[in-house]
Amino acid sequence: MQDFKTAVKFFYHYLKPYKLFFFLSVILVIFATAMQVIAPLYMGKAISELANYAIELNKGVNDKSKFVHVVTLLGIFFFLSTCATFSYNWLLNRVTGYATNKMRISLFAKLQTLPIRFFDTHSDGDILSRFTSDIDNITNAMNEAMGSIMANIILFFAIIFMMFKESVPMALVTMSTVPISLLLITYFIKKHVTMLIYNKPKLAN
Amino acid sequence: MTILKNASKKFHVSIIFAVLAAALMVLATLWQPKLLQSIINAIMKQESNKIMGIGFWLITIAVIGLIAGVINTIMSAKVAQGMAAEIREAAFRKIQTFSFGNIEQFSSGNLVVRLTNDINQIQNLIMILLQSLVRIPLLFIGSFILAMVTIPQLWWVIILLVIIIGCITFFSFGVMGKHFKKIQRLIDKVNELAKENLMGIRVVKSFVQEKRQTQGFANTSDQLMHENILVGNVFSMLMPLFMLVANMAIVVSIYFAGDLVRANPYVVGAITSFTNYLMQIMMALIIGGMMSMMASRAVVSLGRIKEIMDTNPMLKYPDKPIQKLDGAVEFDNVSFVYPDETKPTLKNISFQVNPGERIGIVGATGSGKTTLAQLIPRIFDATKGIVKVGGVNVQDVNETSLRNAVAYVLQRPILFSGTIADNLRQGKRDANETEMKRASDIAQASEFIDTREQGFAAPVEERSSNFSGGQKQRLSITRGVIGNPSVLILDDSTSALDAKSEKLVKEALDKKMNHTTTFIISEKISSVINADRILVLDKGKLVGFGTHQELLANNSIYQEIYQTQKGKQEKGDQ
Repeated sequence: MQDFKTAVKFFYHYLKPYKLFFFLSVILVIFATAMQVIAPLYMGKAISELANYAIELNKGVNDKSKFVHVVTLLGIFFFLSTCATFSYNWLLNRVTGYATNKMRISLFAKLQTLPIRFFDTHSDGDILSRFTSDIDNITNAMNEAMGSIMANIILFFAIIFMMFKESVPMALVTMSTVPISLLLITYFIKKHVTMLIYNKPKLAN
Repeated sequence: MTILKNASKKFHVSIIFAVLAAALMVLATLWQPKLLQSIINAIMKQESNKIMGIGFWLITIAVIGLIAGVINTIMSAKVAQGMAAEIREAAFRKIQTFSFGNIEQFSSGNLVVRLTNDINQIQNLIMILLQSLVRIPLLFIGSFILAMVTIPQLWWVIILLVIIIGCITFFSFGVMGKHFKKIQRLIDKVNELAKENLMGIRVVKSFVQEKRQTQGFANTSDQLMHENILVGNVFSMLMPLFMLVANMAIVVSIYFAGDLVRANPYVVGAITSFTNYLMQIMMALIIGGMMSMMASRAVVSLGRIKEIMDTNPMLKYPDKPIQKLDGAVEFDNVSFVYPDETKPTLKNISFQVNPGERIGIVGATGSGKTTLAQLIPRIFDATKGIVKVGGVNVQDVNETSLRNAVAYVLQRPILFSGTIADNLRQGKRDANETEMKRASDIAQASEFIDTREQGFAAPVEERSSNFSGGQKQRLSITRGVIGNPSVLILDDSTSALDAKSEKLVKEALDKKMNHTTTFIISEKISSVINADRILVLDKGKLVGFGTHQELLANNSIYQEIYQTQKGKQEKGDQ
């Protein structure tokens, strides 16, 4: 937990200058997710309207206007969702780029201030892998994770909300599988992390 | 490709399993929408007994697909790891056969990158190939055909989707490929700068260059950031764009399904599986595109490993039985030109040395002293002429015999991290405590080894930072004499010793290693004054060979060197 606190502090320090960007992207993520949740509903609606239209056709009524209306809305939702996703990806990518660059340069600058003794007691490979492996990992994690973590958290709640709205018993059945997948996920992540720690020193050499 | 083929020998069974599992996975994926469609139909017709049956099938197939996926991933990972290890080992073994010239040709840093980074790329490639090479084309063709069969009237939507996604993939990956290369180069540069800074940290600090170094580093780092952001922007556009195209294809197909309903009411049920197949087609195309991008990077890496494997060592040792060589050394009209140079460093050198003689080699900086000495242990081959050790041409003995006979103590002592004993055993693999003691006595190293609690088991740190320059040189000499060689070459190896220690080392060598021919390279005549004979080099030519007295009497170059050094010495003494 202590590690986690330090990590949060560390990232907060480097991300502070980009608060506004962050705020903007959170709004965009919420918007994009809303669109993502609404679109399938409208897809269902579009297919029902198609079925209705088919039934009406049999009765001799040829009125496509309702169906066309729903399909047009579906198209608009998809388009808006794309625009929002693109925008927050773009914003977060910039933030990641600037923040990790600052980390890399301050890491180098910090090395310059350390006493010689530090270099005699720490192996070169270990110090070097901080420049390569570690900064790369942070970049990748921030690039891939930030957007998707935000989006997935919001999506998670939005989908649960929609599921309960559609049908309570089916939502409950689906929810009952959540603990199982959570257990599986924790198990795999733990295993993955130990493997990474195990592999790291090998890479440095 | 032959590299991959050779490395895959042990893994044929696993590869077959991986491929079969991938095929099974695709079948399961493609079958699912069809079953869903029948369920929807059954629900519409209210045939509940049928629903259960199909539902059971649906679950079975999903589980089979899942298991096949897991098997495929495990097998692929196993093969990729195993093959990468084989390739790395083969490359490493090859590098061990390289001569000095070969390693200079690649540069050692470059070889390290090839062994790590490039092999990782290849490992990724193998993994991707096994996971996707079968799956993606099958998935693409399968979903393409099934989509066509499901609603044939909408064929043009499918074709359009394929063309648009194909174009986007092609263009964006084309653009990115170029920037990926740039990013790789910049990452190399960042690492190089950080490494250089670490190696030279003492210089940086003593000349107060910290700010300047940081500034230089920041410039490169900024460049890397801009490239990263550029590629990131393309990426942030790519996924939403793909999704937009696919979603629009869905919207369009639902819209046109409206026109089809009148003639074919079944379209209402089919549209769901149709859109499902559209998504599969898109996924196949995107993954295929990414795969080819990664593959193109890995092919470059494969080429870089192939370069190592195809390089012929410049020096080859004949396959001959081990022989014992005595300390006689002979140069017969030897000339030497360094690779990539035109001017010879040594010109027509001939001399003979008897076993057990003490030979000094003197000359100004750049006169070819070290080059001459390097020809004896065959670090390089003479360009012209013959070098003999123990009366045998060095090109006609096997490597072990030559290494046992000749020990070379370098100008700059290099110790490896580990223990003192580890380093000494490089000179003689099975050296015991007594032998180590004897050798360190000769090199005057015992006095500081004994002060360490662990003695020979005392640790040597990285860059041997826990030893002084003089101690490093003495350990290096210990390593040279431990194997009791027939020929010992000391290349300015006592430069960091004080006059008294230097004298003690020389005396110990005379007394305890009097059967060993010793070459002492030095710029100072005082270091070789007691040698049996002295070789005088000037601009790559042998200009004198005799005792100190003889040379002083009739060799003008030797006289000149002696006069200038004598002057200095006297000044220093005052």
